[in-house]
Amino acid sequence: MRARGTRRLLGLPGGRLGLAALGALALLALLADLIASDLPVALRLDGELYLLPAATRPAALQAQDNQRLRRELQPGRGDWAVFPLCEYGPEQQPAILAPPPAPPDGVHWLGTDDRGRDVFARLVHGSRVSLLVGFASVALHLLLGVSLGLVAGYMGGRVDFAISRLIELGLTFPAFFLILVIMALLERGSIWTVVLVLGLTRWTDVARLVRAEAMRLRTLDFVTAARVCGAGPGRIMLRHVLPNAMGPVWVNAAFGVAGAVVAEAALSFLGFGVPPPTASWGELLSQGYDFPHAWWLVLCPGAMLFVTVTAMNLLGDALRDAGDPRL
Amino acid sequence: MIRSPLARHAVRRVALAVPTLLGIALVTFGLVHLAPGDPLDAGAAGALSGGKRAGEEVRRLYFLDLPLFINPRPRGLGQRVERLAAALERDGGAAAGSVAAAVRCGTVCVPGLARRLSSEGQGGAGRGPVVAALEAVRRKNPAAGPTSGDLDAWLAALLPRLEPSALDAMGQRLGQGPGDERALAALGSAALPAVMSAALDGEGQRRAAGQRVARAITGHGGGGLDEYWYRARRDHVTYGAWERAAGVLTETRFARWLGRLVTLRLGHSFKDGRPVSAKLAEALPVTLLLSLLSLALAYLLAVPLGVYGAVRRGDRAERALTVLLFTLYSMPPFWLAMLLILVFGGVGLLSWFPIYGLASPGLEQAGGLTWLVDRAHHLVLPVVCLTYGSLAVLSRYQRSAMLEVLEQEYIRSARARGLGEARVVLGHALPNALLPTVTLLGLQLPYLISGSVIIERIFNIPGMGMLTFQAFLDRDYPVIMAVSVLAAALTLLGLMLADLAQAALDPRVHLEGERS
Repeated sequence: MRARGTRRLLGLPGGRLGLAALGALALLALLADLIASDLPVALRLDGELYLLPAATRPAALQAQDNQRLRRELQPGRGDWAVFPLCEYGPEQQPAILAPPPAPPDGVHWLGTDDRGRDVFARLVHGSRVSLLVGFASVALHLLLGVSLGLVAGYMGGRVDFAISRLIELGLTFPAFFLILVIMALLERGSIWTVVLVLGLTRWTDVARLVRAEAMRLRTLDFVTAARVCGAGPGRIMLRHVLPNAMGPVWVNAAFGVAGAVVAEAALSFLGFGVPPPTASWGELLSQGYDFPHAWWLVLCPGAMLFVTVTAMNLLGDALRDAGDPRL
Repeated sequence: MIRSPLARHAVRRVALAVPTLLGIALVTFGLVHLAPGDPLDAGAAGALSGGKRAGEEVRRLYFLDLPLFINPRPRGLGQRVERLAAALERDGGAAAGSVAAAVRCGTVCVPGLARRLSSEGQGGAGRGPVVAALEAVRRKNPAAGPTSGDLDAWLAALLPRLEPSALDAMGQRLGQGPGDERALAALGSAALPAVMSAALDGEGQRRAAGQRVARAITGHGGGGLDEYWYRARRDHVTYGAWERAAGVLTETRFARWLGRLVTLRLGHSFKDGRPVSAKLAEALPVTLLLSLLSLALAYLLAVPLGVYGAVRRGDRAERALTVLLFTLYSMPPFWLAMLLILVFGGVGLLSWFPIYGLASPGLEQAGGLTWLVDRAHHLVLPVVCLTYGSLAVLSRYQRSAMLEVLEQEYIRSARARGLGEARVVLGHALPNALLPTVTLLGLQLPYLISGSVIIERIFNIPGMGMLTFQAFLDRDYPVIMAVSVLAAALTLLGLMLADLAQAALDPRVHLEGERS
């Protein structure tokens, strides 16, 4: 059944497009150090071989960068280097050619930001923040929402009443508002605080979905049959109810990733997101706000955000259609 | 009792909102007070750098001297006197601090200190400091008795007049003649409980007289006597057994803050000292204007678009529209706002619309049409940014609801009866297809409130969002707390209205609630 679901998902043009875009973004995030870095992908210098120095940061290369290496490498001595696609790192402030922020040119393909850092490199590395926050926070909110919803829906009674009040409370607080309050109060946030806060504030929709499904499923014959066979409530919930309640949850999760990516960008845009100097799309956009004429600081990070959100929304739509027996 | 199931459903729904509201208050309070490093303390100290004394006042203003949720030993006057006496003994009368505390405490401490004095006996070691404190109080309250001469004689004359029963009797007679008014004012802080009960709960003459005396004793100028007493009562009243038991829960920071919130006393901003309620009153209409405008616009556009999408399902224009709406749906609002600024805001291509604030400089007070046009001109971009998201969501819902309805039997039978297509769609299908969209109204509220933070910040609109953002930056806790509670309460209201609208429109809904 699972295989058929995947096939149906791939049969929908939106699903294919969404998956392809998401795959490309994931590759961008995974290979960020190969694509844009201040150090080569591989390097042989003074008889020493370095693999992926951008990721390992060997002490010997601390003062080095691609631009200097290009001048200093002596092929006659056996030195060689494989340079990344974009030869600037996300936090590197190279020698200033034009007053920052500078528009795109042959050196900095997408221009530079307010400190002369390469926008392309920051976009590539910013995808890590966005995807990590998107997927990790959704994983957390799924865990919370599914378990609370399952228990509330299957147990009913007082447990359900208490959890329902909790859900209503979560639903009532405008989530983004709550996130802002928490992020503003925590003086030093990290990317994991953003994940934690997003995960803890956005679980209510999932909990409501699962609760409704569990309430419906527990009256059905196959659950009664399992109970007759002597299965305990834990086993029934996990083995019988949960698998049948997950369909709408995956749809919600896809949209949830889109929402979390936007929320992270919005937080960073307002200055309450991932701490500097970490590259993030929202932070680049906020520079676009500070420098209204710097159109590349508005267009580029926004386009990345838009592509990510569209991919997840397409995927969500396709998942819904794939799970809908009427179509 | 209540016959109509709809009314019963409504009552149930409102009753369920109470624990939620309490939860909202708890979360907001917890967030601010459990954040690392006692932020209220830091904010208060930073805001009112008026020395230690001002800091102490702010601490009391926000009940920072009380425990958070549980107060194992609720303090009334009795404990205040005990602590005072302990401090006096520790200082040995040498330090001015504890004597000054006794003077601040005033006559209300005199009976307690006098008891202390008599229990010490004539030659007790602790006598000296207590005597010094009593003498200081005596000098500060010249109207209560002779300021020189034998202390014991002064006490003997004063103590019977400080008996609660005597004070209450005088408080009851307030307003009937100048005698009691003068006598109570002369007695100082000890008279406050009796005076306040006249000033806050009394009627007519008694109330006016009570307020006069209260001001004379406290030196508290303008209004806000109830707020003063809300903070100061526990320093002037000896708790009975019942009050002490209840005090475990009520004499806490949370309970006192909640009490203030329920009576809508929101305190003052740390930033500029203005009342939070005044700031909210300025900002809320702006945000409501924005949200209601965009909500109305979203519905006005979404319903026809959704109906069109369902009726013309599959044709080329409809597919293009669907793609367009889907694209809009995936646009982060702040990005669209910045694109619009780039294109129309005068920094890039065109300069069609202003991007700063709600009014052009100089036109804030202009009247009539000029003002209206200017205001509308400023509202265009922000309203567009707040609208398109709801528009995309709502039209999708409307389309799928319409599609579902159009497949039902009664539509086919309407067509079979020979009704025109317009009649079938608008007269028969639309009313039922509107139902799910209308119930989404309440769910749009949190979205709009959250969205206003970022949109108002981008366009510099002085609404709730801007106020919130500024409060976050300044760590203006009274404002943050008030705004969070208000936002949550508004959202809860929206959810309830949506629920009730659904129940009113769809008879199946409240039948479900009947079972439990």
